[in-house]
Amino acid sequence: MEVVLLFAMVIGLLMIGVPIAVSLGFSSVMFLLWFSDSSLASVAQTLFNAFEGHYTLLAIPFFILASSFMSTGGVARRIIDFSIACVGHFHGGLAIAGVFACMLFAALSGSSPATVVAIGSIVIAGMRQVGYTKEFAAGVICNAGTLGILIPPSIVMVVYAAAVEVSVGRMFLAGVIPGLMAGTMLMIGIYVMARVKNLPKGERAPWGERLATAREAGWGLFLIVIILGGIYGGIFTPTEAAAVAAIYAWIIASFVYRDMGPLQEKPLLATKDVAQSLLGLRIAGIALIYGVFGAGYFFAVYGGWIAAGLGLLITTAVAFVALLAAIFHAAHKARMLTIVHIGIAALATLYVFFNTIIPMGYGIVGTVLLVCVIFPVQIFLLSLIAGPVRLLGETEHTLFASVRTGGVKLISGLPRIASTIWHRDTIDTLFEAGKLTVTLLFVIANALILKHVLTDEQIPQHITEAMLAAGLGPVAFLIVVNVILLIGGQFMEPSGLLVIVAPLVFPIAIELGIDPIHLGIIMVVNMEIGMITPPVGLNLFVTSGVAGMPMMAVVKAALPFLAILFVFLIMVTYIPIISTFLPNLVMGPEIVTK
Amino acid sequence: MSHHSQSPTDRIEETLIALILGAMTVVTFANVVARYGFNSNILWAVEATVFMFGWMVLLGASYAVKIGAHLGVDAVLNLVSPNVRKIMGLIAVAICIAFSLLLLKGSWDYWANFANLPGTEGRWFPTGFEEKFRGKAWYETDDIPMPPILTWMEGAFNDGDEYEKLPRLIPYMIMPISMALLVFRFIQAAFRLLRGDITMLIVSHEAEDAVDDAAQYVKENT
Repeated sequence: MEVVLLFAMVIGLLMIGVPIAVSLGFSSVMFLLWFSDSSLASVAQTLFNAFEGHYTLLAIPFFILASSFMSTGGVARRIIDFSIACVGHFHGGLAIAGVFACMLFAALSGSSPATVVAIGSIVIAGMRQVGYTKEFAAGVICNAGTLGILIPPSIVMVVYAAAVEVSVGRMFLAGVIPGLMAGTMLMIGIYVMARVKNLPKGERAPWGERLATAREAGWGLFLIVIILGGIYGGIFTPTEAAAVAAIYAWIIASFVYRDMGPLQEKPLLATKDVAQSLLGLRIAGIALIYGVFGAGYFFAVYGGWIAAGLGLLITTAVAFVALLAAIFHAAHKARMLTIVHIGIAALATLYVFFNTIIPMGYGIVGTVLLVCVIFPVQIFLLSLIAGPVRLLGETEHTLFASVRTGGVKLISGLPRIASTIWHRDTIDTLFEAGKLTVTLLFVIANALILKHVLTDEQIPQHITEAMLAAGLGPVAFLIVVNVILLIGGQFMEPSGLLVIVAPLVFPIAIELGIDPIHLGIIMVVNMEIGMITPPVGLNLFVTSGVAGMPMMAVVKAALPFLAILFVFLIMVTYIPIISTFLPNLVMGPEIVTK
Repeated sequence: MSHHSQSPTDRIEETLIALILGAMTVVTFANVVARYGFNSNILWAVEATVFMFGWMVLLGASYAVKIGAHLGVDAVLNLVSPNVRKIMGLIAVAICIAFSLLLLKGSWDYWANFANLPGTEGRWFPTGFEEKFRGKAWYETDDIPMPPILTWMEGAFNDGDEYEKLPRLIPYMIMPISMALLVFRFIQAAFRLLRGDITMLIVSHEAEDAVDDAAQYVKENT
């Protein structure tokens, strides 16, 4: 009976406009003070332990940050170009490309509204220009955007994993097949509608253009390799993968796509110098990275906290000096000396490479992944060796000019490059991501107090007993879960709802023999639908903003596609293998401990 | 970027949030680089990041009250008349103040012993300081080294015994501080509700900023 009071209190407080976090925390505190002998100090401890004891949750701020850097506009535009080049020639091609772009962006970002904003703000306008109705465009993007939380990485999945203590890696893998399926179903639906209504189709793009757009988008899409390859290659924990992704996204946004930071207005090199200076840029870049590594090895040897060895330190220093010398000689037009020094640097690099990575024993695949993910340096290395060889055949002028302009520009541009770190854009993005993290995590931390109450009072166990006594089986239980989440999802933000409902239904599901990963995917798909049903459909708000049409019009526009997602929900709920196949294949069968 | 700071306190809080998040990211990244680049580990990286995470969220919670960024359900609030909304808002903010006061007491009780200070007596309300307690200032973090600048703490808290690692009283210190700030911000919010500067405590929906940004983007690009 006390449980009913607890949940009635939570809901009552929510309704009068108490923040979710306080509703959860306050109700739990009241419950503990009334019905148990816990002290307020232990509540405070539980609150702090939400951070101290849940390393998994740390992935959330990093994924939010990576997604913020990736949402600066340039990435979305390149992904859309790539999608149009791939599928634009079908009937309804632009709409299908929109879905495809949403799927790709979902693989970079863990949030649905972010996906709608990034892709929708460009695609909806584009669709209207070639003759689609506004409603059709809004409906497509509004629905496809929900894939953001189903296709990994996904913030909602991290929350679920932390709340019920399952593996984040498993959850991410489990989202892959359902995500691809939902996307494909939407695309097929659009194609059928397009044939019926005879919607416009684009021109078939030649393979050259597809490759060119793929190359442009590749820098951003490589993030998928870092995250998924890193986690499943055993290179990082999900939290580390998220942090690496955030740094990578910052580098891409500031230095490659230049959507933000000091290089946005004025690039380092004038466009006409770019091709010519590439080699020099690489050399100077590598020299800098080696400077950093050399310093690292120095402190390693000096501080004695690793067994790196003096040889590595010296070799790195040699490579560093040799590269700087190469730039110097190039500036003085000493051809042979330039090449010799580049050669020395390349040999020293190979030495360091073979003495650090190979002995670590990650096998062939691990080493290759490492080389790709952690050491962009090594990629530079290949171009370093190839560069002089290629340029030897050309005029003397090109080789020297290249090294000189590129190297000198990069070194003289260092202050500006460094200033990216404290540039207004970087700080602003960090702050926006921080703000989102704060509001989300404050809810989660308080929900963990509620979870503490539920576990202490063994509430899920009581409900399970009552359910089993009433003869309810897994099928009926899943219907109940679906209904609770669908209704709740119409009023509440997904992570908040999930973190309340998950600890309650999870023990029951385990008792009934439902796979925890499968349950997680069901919950995520429910959240997706909650996002496009009024009154609190986040995606509805965002789409109405992006498309510039009233909420109710978006609701109507989203309906036909919502039907597709409903069919999908039923499939996911009752065909567990859709969710469990991939994680069990890759990570072995799940061991469920009751 | 939709929100731009006006006052110096705004700027300090915003920069602090940005800096902590930046530091968390860099430390975690550096740990990966150390592992694969130098075959080593930054021993304190995980623990320090986790504490910074807690600091950011707890400090940020009071800032989020100030800018009205906390998530909530506004479905009912939007249906009722302004007067009813104001009354509901005042009840809500009273509950928020009560909650933060309770947590302030809890946080103090939890932290105080780590700093050799007395916790408070009483279950709901502090009725006085405890007379007997066991100081836990000797309790150290697992991995974070003690910065030399803090050695004065050994005399102040640890009977002059050396701290090998950072004592726990430092990371936990954020608890009473952040809860006191939270009380302060909720009281401030109560006055703003009374005066009618704000109509509700919560952000009506998380996506508001995003929508503004997107509308801006669409306007600029079409």
